[in-house]
Amino acid sequence: MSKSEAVNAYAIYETQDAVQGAVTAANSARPKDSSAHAKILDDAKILCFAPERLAASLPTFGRLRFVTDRASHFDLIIAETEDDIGDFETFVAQSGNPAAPLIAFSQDFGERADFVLKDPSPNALVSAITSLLPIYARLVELPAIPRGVDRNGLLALSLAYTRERKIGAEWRPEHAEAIGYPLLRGMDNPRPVLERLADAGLLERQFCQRLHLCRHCNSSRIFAREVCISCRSSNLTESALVHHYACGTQASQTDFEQREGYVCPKCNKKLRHYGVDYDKPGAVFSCGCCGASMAEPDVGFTCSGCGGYTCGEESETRDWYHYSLLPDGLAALRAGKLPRTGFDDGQSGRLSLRDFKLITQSRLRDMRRHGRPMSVLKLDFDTADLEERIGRRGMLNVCAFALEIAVQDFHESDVTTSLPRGLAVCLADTDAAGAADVGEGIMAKLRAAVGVTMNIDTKVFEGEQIDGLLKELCGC
Amino acid sequence: MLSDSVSLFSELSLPMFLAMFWHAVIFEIPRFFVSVLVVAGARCMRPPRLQGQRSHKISILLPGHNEGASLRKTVEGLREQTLGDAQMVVVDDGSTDDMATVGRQLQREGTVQCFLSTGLRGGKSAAANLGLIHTSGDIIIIADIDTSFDRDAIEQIVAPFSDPRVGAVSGNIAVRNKRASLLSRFQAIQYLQSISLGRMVTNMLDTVFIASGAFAAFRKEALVSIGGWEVGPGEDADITIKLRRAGWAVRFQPDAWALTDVPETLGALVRQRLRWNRSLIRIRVRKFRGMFNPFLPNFSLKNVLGTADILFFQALLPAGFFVYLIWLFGYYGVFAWTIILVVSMAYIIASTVSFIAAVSVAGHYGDLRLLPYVPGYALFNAYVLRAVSVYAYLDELMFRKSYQDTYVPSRVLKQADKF
Repeated sequence: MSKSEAVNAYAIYETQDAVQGAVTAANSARPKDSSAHAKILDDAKILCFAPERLAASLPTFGRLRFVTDRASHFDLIIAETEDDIGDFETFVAQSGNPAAPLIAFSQDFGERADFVLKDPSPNALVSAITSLLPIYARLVELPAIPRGVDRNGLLALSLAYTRERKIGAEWRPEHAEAIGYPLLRGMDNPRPVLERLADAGLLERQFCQRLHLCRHCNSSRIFAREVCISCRSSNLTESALVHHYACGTQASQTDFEQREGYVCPKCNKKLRHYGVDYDKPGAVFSCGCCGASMAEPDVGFTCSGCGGYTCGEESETRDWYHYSLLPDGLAALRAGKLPRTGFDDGQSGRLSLRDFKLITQSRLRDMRRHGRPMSVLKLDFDTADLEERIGRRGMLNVCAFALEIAVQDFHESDVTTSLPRGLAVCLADTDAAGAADVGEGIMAKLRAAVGVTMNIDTKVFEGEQIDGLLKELCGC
Repeated sequence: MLSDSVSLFSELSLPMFLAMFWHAVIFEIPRFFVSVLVVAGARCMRPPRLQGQRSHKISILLPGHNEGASLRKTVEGLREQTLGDAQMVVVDDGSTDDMATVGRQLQREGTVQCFLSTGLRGGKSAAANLGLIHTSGDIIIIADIDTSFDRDAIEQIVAPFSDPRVGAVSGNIAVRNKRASLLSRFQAIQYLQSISLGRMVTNMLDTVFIASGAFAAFRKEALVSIGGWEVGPGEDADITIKLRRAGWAVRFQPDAWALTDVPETLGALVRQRLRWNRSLIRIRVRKFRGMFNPFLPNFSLKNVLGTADILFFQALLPAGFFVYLIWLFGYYGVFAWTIILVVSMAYIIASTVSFIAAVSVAGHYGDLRLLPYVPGYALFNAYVLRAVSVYAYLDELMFRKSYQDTYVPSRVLKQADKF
């Protein structure tokens, strides 16, 4: 019996008594003081991600109902097939109950599936629902997750709280970032959201991995390779060095090798004792393509996405963390809104302050070592003036809009972070004059696009000024 | 007392004068005046500066140990040379600092064409021999990594190779940190006199017997034919002698200037000079004593004269000076102090003349600022550095202390050929 058939069989199950009996049994097992338990078993609506053909045949068991209309209210979700995953992710982004418990028929939903139903029988379904009662009980005590800027943050907090688990990072080799958060399945780019929550003291970080990034496309799906320093070919040959003490000859081992053992090519003496006559102090690598010799090959990364090469010593890194809910996070969740730190919605691709600092510092090192130009442009909005004129809500909307306009002028290699009153952008390969031009271009664009007059202070930082700025922004 | 001394000296007959100042007559007068006057005269008719030949393919070999701090600066300085496009080969001789990191980075940037690193220190000769294998030029320039160069130094040092008989050329070396201390000023004076001026004399006589390890150029064919460098210390003198005995000419190029830092403290200076002077005995007296044998196939009168010149002025002169001092006190008693005073004054005058001649032939007139230090240098050289030399010679002759030198790792020195 396939999973579809199982659901179908369940949907057309005629002996409702069996289900009702199971529900009754579950009810009798639940804690007497749990009103949430009573509610879900007495009046649960289960949103079913099933094929359209099943929709019409979905039955009602007493007050336990299946629904397929995704706009309707629901308490639980059943997702049937692997094909539903993409559908589910799109749905969660828009749903009114994005943290609802999920019963899946396969492991494909990962951690986001609260129960994987291996035996698609009515009894199994009821026991699955029963096992989800504690999650449901926690969910109903929380305010609904609103649409808007706090949605993703609150959803992350809600999932961590209701599932009583940390938001764990796991390998996702199919993604460019190579690591994802299965619990937050469906959330687009969850990392900045989590970092912001951690910065705000709502989540606690636990280190998971440090991944190197392709310097061209920021992907972590990169392959480490040993390559020639001169031509980047991996056609390398390693040869041990031999040092003959007596005459000072030091050359490749192959130069010493003769039928009778090692013989010094200079003085023709036989090398008998390692450590007495000779030693092997290292190795030399030779490139089969360009003929270069080197002490050590370059360790670099080739990106499986864009094919670009990133030198190992110059590659930037990204730290990934697991996150655990902190008391302040629970308080924010119960209040139904996040403490305001700015007007960024966390879905813009902007980095957390912490990541911005790491990448900017790495680029500063590049600048000092190789003379590669870089600068930081800081945009400061006069939010007080704007709030006085158009109110807080208007100010937030205008500033968010202005930010979206501003970032259109940046390149992919530029990294941005939101500040309490604006934005900072680290402009790669751009000197101070270039950064000033970018700033003027943004100002001109904003004057044309934003209907409200905004006072924006643009400031360019370079060299040691950047160190000072990072210290000021990050407080260390 | 003073008037008595003046009247005594004024009444001295020539034989008496020669008897009283025999050391100066035998050693000092030729040393200070003959060479100075000959070279100064020759430099008055200074030939035009040589032009380096761009047809030579040049490799610059930089072996070093723990030179992470100065490697980048030296390499970048070499890239500023008027004769560009040289292959740069850097060998890290088992450094424990960041030299390997800097070297790899320079190779990655393309500034250094070949960077090699050994995990274990094997000594400068072993590092240079390893680097030699990876050089592609027909002229190999070897230099210390803490050395810096005039912009045309490479062009100048390769110029003599237009003569196919030339196998090695020694560069001219001056002191970079001469303002660091009184001792470094003294050494700046000494380098001018003994390298800029002294080697000009030996060059004129075709008896250049050292291609300085800090800055020298070699024809690769010549280097390979003699098997590269032998185990140090004193590997620069060793290789020069080997080249000469193989029939190659060795030149000094006074216009190829390099600057190096010298020891700033007395302890460091004494250690350096002990090493240099011990090598003189080990290499010139012991290892190549066969050079004086006229029955050996590669006997050369010029080589004998050159070595004798070095032994005479660098070994016998200081040793003779202390014999002279003892003789003075034994023969003249307290009056010896008066003679020493006169000898010292003569040293100061001779050194001053020598210094001015050296400055004029070097063309580094700014060094005339060192003139006030010349009297001090003359006395320091006469009484301190000569004492160090004599101690080093005796030490080497009796105890072979050069085989305990930390300049080369002990495991290597233990296996090196003993002479």
